Amino acid sequence: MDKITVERLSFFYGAKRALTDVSIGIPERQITALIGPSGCGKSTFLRCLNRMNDTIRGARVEGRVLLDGQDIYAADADVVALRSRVGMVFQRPNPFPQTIFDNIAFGPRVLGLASNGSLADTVERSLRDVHLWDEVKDNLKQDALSLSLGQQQRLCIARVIAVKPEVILMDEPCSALDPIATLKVEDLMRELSQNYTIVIVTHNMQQAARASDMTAMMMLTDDKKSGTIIEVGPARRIFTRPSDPRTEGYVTGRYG
Amino acid sequence: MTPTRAHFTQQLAQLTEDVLHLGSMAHHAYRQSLQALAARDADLAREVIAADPAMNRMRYDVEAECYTLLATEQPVAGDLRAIVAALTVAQDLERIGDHGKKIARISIRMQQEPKSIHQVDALYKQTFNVVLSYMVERPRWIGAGTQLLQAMHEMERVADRATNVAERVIYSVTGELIDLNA
Repeated sequence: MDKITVERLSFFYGAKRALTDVSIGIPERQITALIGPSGCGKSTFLRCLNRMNDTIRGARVEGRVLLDGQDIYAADADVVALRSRVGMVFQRPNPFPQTIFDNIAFGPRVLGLASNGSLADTVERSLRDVHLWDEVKDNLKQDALSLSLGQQQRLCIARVIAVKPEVILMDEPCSALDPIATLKVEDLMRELSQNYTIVIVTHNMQQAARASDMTAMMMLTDDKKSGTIIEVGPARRIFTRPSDPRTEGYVTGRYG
Repeated sequence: MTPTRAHFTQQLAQLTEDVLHLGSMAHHAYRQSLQALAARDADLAREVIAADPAMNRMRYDVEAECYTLLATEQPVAGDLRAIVAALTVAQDLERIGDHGKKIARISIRMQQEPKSIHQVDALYKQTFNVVLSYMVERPRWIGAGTQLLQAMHEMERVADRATNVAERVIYSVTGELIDLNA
């Protein structure tokens, strides 16, 4: 069952075309990894999935992105509601310069999801879900920026799940983390995928091989002007017998 | 886009070369063992037996190369298949060498058979039933016939090993594991 269906999506920054005819089904409660060389449009594509590109002047899309069958680019689509359903984690951990508690409570407060009593429950549950609770439960009033980078990134994931999204987009969530913190985030992704649909952009091929169920390979089109998806399949197939020679060249590290 | 991983590519080429070298050693040993059997050439048979330890070492060298590449290069896709295929192919090739050694031993044992046994030489290419009927008709050939049946069994095993190698080559190239005996 696909949570998100992308049909012939093209994306433009003004006159410049960045994505051409991207089509993919993103299965519900699975981890889908987007891989491909730098500049092929992976992050641009990821940001199309919760309309993060809308704020860019001249941004324009063609084609459709369906979330549970509803076009998120429809004229009457509610972008704020969309972003609470489709959360995002970024490359560098970006906690607000506030306490650990307030970071997690921010979303539920803004969206009016929780009264004060249940707010504490939401904060605890979110921190437990990312295995951060035991590390920070006695320091909830502490500045979130005092945490290690790995802890900050898990805090950011907790901040996303505090508003009970359905999809979590991750743009190279481990690129600023050490190997152990990276493996912790990967384990966490695996657990979260039982309840959430996860789409991750990664430059780390071993991470895509280890941590994704589905892997989509992106490349520049033949005219080198925009990116597209050239092959999608279960990770175990993409990393043992890809069918497109360009995928083979990229995953084996021969080109890219 | 520029080609990368030159060192790894070179190590994979070396691995392929080592497997091919092991293959030619096994091929040579097997052919010599058949010659020794046909010609009752004990010297040649002893040569085959003496060559076996080198093949065993070569096989373990290939295995060590494979483990090192798996541990250090994190190979995927075609690279992974080539290394996994090399691991199993090296084992089959070494075993082909073992079958050659067994045939060589049989040919040495047949030195002790009565002289007239040499008439049976032409038979080893023929089928099990032919050998069996010779033994039934001429009881004094039972000893030699039994040795030949054993040798034929070794040859059959070599054919099985060769099939395994062929299956692994197909796997390495296409990613599909198929049973060629099916």
